[in-house]
Amino acid sequence: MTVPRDIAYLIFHHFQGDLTDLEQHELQTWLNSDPQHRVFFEQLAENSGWKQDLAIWHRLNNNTKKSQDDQMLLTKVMEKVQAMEEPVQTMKVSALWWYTAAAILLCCFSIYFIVQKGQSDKQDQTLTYKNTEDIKPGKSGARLTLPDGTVIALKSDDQGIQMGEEIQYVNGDRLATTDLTNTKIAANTPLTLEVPVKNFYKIILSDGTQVWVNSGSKLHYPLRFDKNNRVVELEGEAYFEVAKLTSNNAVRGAKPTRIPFLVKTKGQLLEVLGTKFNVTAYPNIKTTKTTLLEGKVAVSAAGYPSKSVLLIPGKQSSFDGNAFQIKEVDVDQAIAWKDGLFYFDGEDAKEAFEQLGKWYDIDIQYIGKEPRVAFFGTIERNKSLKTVVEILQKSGVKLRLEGKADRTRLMIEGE
Amino acid sequence: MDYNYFEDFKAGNQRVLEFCIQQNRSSLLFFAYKFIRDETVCEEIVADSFFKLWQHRARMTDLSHIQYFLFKTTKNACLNHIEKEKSSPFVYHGLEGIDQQDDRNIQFDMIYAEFIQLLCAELDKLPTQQAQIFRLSYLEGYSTEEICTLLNTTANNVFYAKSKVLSHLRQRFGRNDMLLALFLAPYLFQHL
Repeated sequence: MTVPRDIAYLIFHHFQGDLTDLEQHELQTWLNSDPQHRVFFEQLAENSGWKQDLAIWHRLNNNTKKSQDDQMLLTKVMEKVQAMEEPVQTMKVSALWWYTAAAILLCCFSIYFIVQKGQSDKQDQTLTYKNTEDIKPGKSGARLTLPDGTVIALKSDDQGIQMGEEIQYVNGDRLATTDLTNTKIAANTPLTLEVPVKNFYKIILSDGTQVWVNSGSKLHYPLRFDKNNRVVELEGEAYFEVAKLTSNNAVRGAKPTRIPFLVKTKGQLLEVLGTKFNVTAYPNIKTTKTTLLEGKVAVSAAGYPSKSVLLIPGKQSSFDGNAFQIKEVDVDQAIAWKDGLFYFDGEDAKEAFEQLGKWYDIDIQYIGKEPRVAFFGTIERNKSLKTVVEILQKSGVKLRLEGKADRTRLMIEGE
Repeated sequence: MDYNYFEDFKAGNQRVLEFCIQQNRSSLLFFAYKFIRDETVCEEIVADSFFKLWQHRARMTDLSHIQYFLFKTTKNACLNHIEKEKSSPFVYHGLEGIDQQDDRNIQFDMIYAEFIQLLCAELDKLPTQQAQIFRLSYLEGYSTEEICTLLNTTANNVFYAKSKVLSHLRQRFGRNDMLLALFLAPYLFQHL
């Protein structure tokens, strides 16, 4: 049986005029094997529908995100398969899952190993700490400032709070003080969710948009959004899953217009139409990073909305106040913090160490070159700093903790 | 793809499925769209075809059998969908005038989809802005002024890019007048 792909190749290159003699012979054999083949071939050459079909092909298939679309489809198919074969859980999900699983196992073994070793052989203390005490991991927690200035300390809850007619915890608990309905507050008066260092918090905004706010960040948002515009302001880092909203006051029959969602950060304006992305814009760091996971966003320098840069999934833009740089990144790494993980991809570990620094509120210093860490895997954030450092040390990463004044510093040696 | 991989596939190895998706997703989506002008529905149907492939993987004999199975399944699903949505009249947007038995049609549809893919790949070899300008003007019918606004560039740049594309394509298809004419005729008349 002749493979269609090969026939297409032969016909295409016949038109291009660069077939080898052997290939030309193959094509002729195929054409002569069935009169219908020749009819098809001739119709193909005369067919003027190409233009339209090329346009269709291009519209349906975006080459730049082909591998991503392939991956999404694979995930979708495997979800269907799993739904079918519910009780049989032996399916291999993907290579990354194996790596992750292996890394977690490795971590477990390392901890076990460290504990065992510490008990049996107290003499063998290879890990040196100067003036440092172990530092506990961060946890979920935040302060909410209401429009009237009231500050509420939110309780530790991984599911966070939800904005609606009143503010409540996602798990159903009421907040201690929420007399929003009684006071006459304009809907667009901003509230502030302040997440201290060593904390994180999740919030569902009044439009259904979910925001995970990382350590040391502030999110300013209105009680209720405007009809035509949704605007929030961010200082620090947050991961957004924006709800798609269309305005229903459009004329009947007319296409409903999407209500844009704008994220303002220091110097940058970001516009989205229902999508998932991560923004890092700490006041003390010059660069604003935006990483897109799904959908489409446009980023622009504040005040220059017409000179926007479009991002496609898998890309990260860095804005230094003057220009945008776009590069391809591992999106899993960019949002690992949201899932409570430090993510080391075996290559550039700077991102992971930055997250580590924020989480334990410690300083990070590199000795020599930037870190290339031969460690691939994830470490859960709910471990103490000492444990995380030990896991990395056991995996061959050269690093140590130092205490200076009342700050702890993690010294990392490049390779 | 060697034989062992195929045996693994039958045993439940997902890598072969991944490979098949990489090889066939684009052309299947295109093929489905020829029946149903609704991207979301098409994507759903294509996903379902791969799911069915997975269910029937034990029966597959080789990669071209798989491709044939995928196209056939997709076509059936499309026809079923049209049957259900009786209100919309059935229009097949494929190659017209070729009326044969179904199996042979599928084979031609597969070849055609692969062929369009090759043409698209040829366009992708152009520098980004040239390809963009070519697509907007030739494939999507935008005027020069509209392209200037869309790409935030000058008319001179657009004309320059168009002439570059022309010379590139002449180089590529130069030895075959028919294809060059086919490919460029509307372009030449409309825009130069």
